[in-house]
Amino acid sequence: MQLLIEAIGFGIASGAVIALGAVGFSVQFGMSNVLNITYGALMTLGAYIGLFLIDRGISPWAALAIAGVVVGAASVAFNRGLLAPLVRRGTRAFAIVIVTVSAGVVLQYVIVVFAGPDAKSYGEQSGQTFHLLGMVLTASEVTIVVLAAALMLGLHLLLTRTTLGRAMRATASNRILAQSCGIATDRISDIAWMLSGMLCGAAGVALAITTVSFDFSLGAVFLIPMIAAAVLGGIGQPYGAMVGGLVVGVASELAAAFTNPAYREVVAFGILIVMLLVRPHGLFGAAWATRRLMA
Amino acid sequence: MGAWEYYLVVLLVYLGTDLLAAWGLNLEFGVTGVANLGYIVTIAAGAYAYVICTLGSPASAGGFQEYVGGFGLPFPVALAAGIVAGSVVGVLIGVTGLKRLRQDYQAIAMLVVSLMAATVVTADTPFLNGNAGLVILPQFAPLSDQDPEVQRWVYVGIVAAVCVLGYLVLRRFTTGPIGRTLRAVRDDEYAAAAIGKDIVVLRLVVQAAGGALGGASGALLVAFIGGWSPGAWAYVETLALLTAVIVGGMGNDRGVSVGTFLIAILILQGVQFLNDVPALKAIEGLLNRPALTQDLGWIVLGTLTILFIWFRPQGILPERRPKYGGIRG
Amino acid sequence: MGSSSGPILEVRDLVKHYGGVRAVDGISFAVERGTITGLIGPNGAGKSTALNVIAGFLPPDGGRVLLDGEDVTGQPMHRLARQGVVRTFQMARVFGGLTTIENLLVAAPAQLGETATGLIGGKRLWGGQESELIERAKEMLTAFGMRDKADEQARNLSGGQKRAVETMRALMARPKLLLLDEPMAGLSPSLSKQLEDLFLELTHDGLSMLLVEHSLDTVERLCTKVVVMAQGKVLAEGRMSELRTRREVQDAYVIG
Repeated sequence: MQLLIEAIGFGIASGAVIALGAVGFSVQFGMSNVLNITYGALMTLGAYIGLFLIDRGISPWAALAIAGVVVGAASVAFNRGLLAPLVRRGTRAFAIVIVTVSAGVVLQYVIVVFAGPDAKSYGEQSGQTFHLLGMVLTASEVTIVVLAAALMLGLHLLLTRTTLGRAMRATASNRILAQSCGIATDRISDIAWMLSGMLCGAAGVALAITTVSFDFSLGAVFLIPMIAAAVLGGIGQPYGAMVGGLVVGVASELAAAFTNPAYREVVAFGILIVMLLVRPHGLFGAAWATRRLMA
Repeated sequence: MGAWEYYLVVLLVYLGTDLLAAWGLNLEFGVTGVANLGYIVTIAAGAYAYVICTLGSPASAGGFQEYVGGFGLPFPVALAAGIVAGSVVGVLIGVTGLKRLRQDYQAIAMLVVSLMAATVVTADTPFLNGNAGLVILPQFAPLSDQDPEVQRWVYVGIVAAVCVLGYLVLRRFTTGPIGRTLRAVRDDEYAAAAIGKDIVVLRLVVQAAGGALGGASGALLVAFIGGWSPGAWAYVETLALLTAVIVGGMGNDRGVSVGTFLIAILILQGVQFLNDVPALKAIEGLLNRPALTQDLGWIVLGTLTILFIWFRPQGILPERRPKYGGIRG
Repeated sequence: MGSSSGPILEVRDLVKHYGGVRAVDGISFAVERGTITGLIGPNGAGKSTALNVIAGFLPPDGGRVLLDGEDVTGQPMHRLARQGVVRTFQMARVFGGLTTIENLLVAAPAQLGETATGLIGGKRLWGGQESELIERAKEMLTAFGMRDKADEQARNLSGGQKRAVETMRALMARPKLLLLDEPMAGLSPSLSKQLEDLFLELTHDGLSMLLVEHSLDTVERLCTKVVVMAQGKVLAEGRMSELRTRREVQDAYVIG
């Protein structure tokens, strides 16, 4: 029983990080309809920017914010410079996936060239631990859970309560129609890639804070759980992605606790494959999402 | 055998096995349009199947490595087993694309299969000795009474023979009515279904054939290098083969062969020689980064893929279609 | 059932939803053997959706589709195609990497070169059939005035040419029932006229067609019967000359 509760505690902590990344992935995919595998490497970039800053005495939370902004900018540049032009030229979906996989590999190994292949760490996290219903969470884990929840709420309010949010949703569901309604879809899409990149960078730093050590494969390892969470929750559904993140996080930790720790990721792999085969529009997916999958 | 002659043998075996793999991937990706990002698993399946067929039982070998099977079979049978294993695994990977998923979803599903297979094989040591991998002892010797130099050249001959055979099989699929049908599936699967083509069956047949080529590649490679472990089949290895296909020319068998030569031999082997460049050696020493050249290799491959998709998506030798004479009568 | 006297296609109470929208809302009609039935209606009436469901491209949410009296509801496209139901698409779909003539050849049914024996036996086995197909494809290209485009890659063709390729490809598949989604769109007037003649000729040989078309003049010339759809429902059915004068048909077109 104790093992179960502890595993759930770990699951919520890692689920919060997965959810951060998954929501960003979901926003981006919903906007561009491009399955961007480079997202994982951008997350790694965030973690290494965080490392660079923390090594220079900046606090982890400031580093998280700065890394978010830098990765957000990188994400916009990546879309503007590479993906959007390819999509405009009518490059086939599978070729674009290969471009994003390749770009991810390039970015990952550029990071290796500059930062080296060995494991890194943000250093010992001081601060107390919290005991909650038998779960043990460190102060930084609690902060990340709270931060993730706050960011989700903020994104939700942005999407539902503001003109910008409505324009984003309109652009995501039908770009041509949105354009004819006078929405500057290119700018809206930039904003979506910025937001998604910020969440991606923040997730990278958050992940590095909660793990003992990390290396250049950080984002590649976490990419599949994030996509699994995003697909589980329904692409383009921030709330869904958040729930998906928690489900994937908890399920992974339970599998790690009760079977082989190495099978932690296999759970996410399994969830993703089953979802893609059975219900690609997600548990909470909207009907329009199904239509896009037919294209 | 001099160092250079030995190196030549190594290169030829690598080229042969890479060709088989790239042809298989081209059949799946370039001709049929299935972006199989898990293709390396068929190669791994061929290699592992070869190893467990050729080794004796784990106990008989002293128990220093764990694995299922251990049948002590001769080379041709173990090679056949590798081909069958690659084919079966190819179909299993293909099943993830059975549903009419978008092509990019298919690609991701297949990538996930690749990651999952690597995780399971690494974690489950009793299955295929986990992360440490398997070693073949004693190594395969085609003619037991000859000296090693002759043995190696005989092996190059065996690889060449399998390549010729593999190419003939490949051409059966990529030319004629079936090659035309597969390309139609690639170009527009819905239009292909509308004229009665069973997309799922066609894709699975192609997965079986492409997987068989991958299996042959893996089995021939492992028989030569004498060992196989999860490190040899990370998912990025598929990317190297994809680069060869894209650079050479998707859907063009000769183009892909050229691409394989350029990528597998000129670039990946060329990158190894950077180790001998004194300046780079100095940088490596300075940065304490012994694997720097390999990292650069991946950067070069990824960049090449992107550049080709951007500037020349048809590759060095574009796909060519037969002419039936348009103007005359 | 399965009689050769009844209609070739019968649609009964067919329903298809998109989210909350009933794109096709319980339509019924029949296509008689050896005739062309027109399916007309304003934009968004559900014509293309109906065609997509009949062709097996989309699964129906209700109702039945009978081919030669046999229930084929919800069968996938390729199975229907093998039973002789071949469709074209609203946006012409060609195999861009293949040449024009290959786009035709690929559609021929029962090709030996696609079978396991053909793969093993090689050209000796399928070569003869292939040369016959090439002759047939060349004749068809000539009839459509596209003989000189035979070896052109289909992706380089103009919009109208692509549409013509799609129609030729459908005919190469030797259908019993053709489902055509605006085959005349983008075609030159002279080619449209030729195509109309060809369609009428083909019905004399026993081919049946369901034709979604915007040009009411074309529909009037070709179709023995016309089904008018509006807002997912069948509004009227009859001869075009009668329908033109009917009030509800005029209203549907005006209101849209």
